[in-house]
Amino acid sequence: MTMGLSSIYRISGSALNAQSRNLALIANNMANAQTISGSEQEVYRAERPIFSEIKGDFINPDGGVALLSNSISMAPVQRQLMPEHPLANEEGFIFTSNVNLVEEMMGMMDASRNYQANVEVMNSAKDLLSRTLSLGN
Amino acid sequence: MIKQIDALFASSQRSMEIQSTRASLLANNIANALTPGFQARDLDFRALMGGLIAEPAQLIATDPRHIRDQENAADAAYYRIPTRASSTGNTVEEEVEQAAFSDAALRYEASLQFLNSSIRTVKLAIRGQ
Repeated sequence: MTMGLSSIYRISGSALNAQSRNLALIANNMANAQTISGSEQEVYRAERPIFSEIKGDFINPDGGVALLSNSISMAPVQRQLMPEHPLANEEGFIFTSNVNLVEEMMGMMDASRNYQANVEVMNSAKDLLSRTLSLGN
Repeated sequence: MIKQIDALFASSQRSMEIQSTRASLLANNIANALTPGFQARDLDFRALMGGLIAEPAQLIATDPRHIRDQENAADAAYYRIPTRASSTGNTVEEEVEQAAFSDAALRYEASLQFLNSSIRTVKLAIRGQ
């Protein structure tokens, strides 16, 4: 058995990294929620994280999680008729991003709760290891 | 004499090994709580500890093609059956995993205490006072 308590640092550490990148992604989505563009193609679209397990064998000597890449949300963008807007196209339409704030808030709660859980796992692994180090005293 | 001391330490040591492997498996479950399609896993303590408790009949492998006995953690790991379905196919239930993790941590600590008192016993026997 090669897996031990010290591998928890690597596993939970990878989760902290993945979740903080996820939070950055969500922050970027929320910051761009009101972004406006004059063309449907160029308007900001929400990005979604894709997580993947870091695989070893069945019991996973590597273990952990990685944020592989982002997918672009295919939700429809909003179109508004505003001919007086400086970014409006020839037909007088402007396009607003397809970021759904409720969805983003939910993603944010998921991410921060998972981050917290992983910090707690790391903390108790640290306690157990330091107690093991003082064995026999 | 050394053999007896070994035997005194063996069960605590084995149990600590199993619980720490279990703890890292559970940590991996918690880390993958948001991974789509991830299947949560756990370790069967009895299957791994069984050899020490009851000494079951062992299969003797004289050829690499023979069926192996349960000798490593991979054979004793099993997929967890979720209590509710999720839309992403992920079977991690964070509260279940957290409870299991603190259970593993507690058992590890208990074995540590037993090992510590075994060490104290041996030390006392050596010093004789």
